[in-house]
Amino acid sequence: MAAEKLDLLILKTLALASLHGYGIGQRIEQRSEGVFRVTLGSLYPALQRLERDGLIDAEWKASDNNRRARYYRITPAGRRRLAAEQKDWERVAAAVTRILKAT
Amino acid sequence: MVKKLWRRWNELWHGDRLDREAQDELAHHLELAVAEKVGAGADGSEARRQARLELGDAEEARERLREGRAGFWLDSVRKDAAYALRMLRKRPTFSAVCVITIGLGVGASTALFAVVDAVVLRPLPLPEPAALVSIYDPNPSIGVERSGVASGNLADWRRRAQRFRGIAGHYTMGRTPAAEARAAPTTRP
Repeated sequence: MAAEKLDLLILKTLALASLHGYGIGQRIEQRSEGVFRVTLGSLYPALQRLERDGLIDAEWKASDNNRRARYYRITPAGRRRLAAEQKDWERVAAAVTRILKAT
Repeated sequence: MVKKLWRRWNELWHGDRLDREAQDELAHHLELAVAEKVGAGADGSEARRQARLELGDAEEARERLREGRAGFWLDSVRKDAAYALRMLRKRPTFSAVCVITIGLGVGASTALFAVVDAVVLRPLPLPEPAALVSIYDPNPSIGVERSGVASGNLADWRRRAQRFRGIAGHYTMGRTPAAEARAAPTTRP
């Protein structure tokens, strides 16, 4: 999966709920009905990048099974970026669809 | 902004801790995936194998995170420096020649620059160094352009010249070094 598209999906997932890395991967897999499978090697560098850009925040907290886990949360800047990128994506996707459906 | 700087600082100085945390996080991720597969009925080793296959290598992910941290290039610079030192120690003669060559080169350049700096680059210690000029008394009949000035002429110039704020004259006298020690140094008024 292209890096920017993964960033967008992560931002969207975190906009709905704060999650740890595993949770993010699972949500993306479930919502895409198995089309996207997120590997460790793509997910965590993406989270690192997003955190560096101030679009998400991370915090160590006790998880459900009483283990320390790193929870990610979207920041206001992340929400703004998500809105912009989503609009952009919808425009591009619609355009591609129109071209592919042309007869 | 402060947060970003703090983050960079941490990446630079606590890279090892961040690396351990990343390892922890990745291991946790794999554990959860395995647990879910076991819950769905797979046996332990098979579940681990599948999780590995689906999620990819944790070590590779860890490596990529390490590369993404601010201190990464510093780390590689440190490794390169250590390697260079090791190689130098292995061949002491060659190293000594290198050190001497570079030392002499730097010394010569520094000396040369010191001279150029003092003579050419640094302005004279006067309020308006650009306004300072040398005046000579040309004598075209014998083809001399820059001749000395008779003290009487100098006195006339000082009285009559209006373009200059002041005029001063100086003698240049040759001395042998042995005599120099006793004589007052030649001054440029």
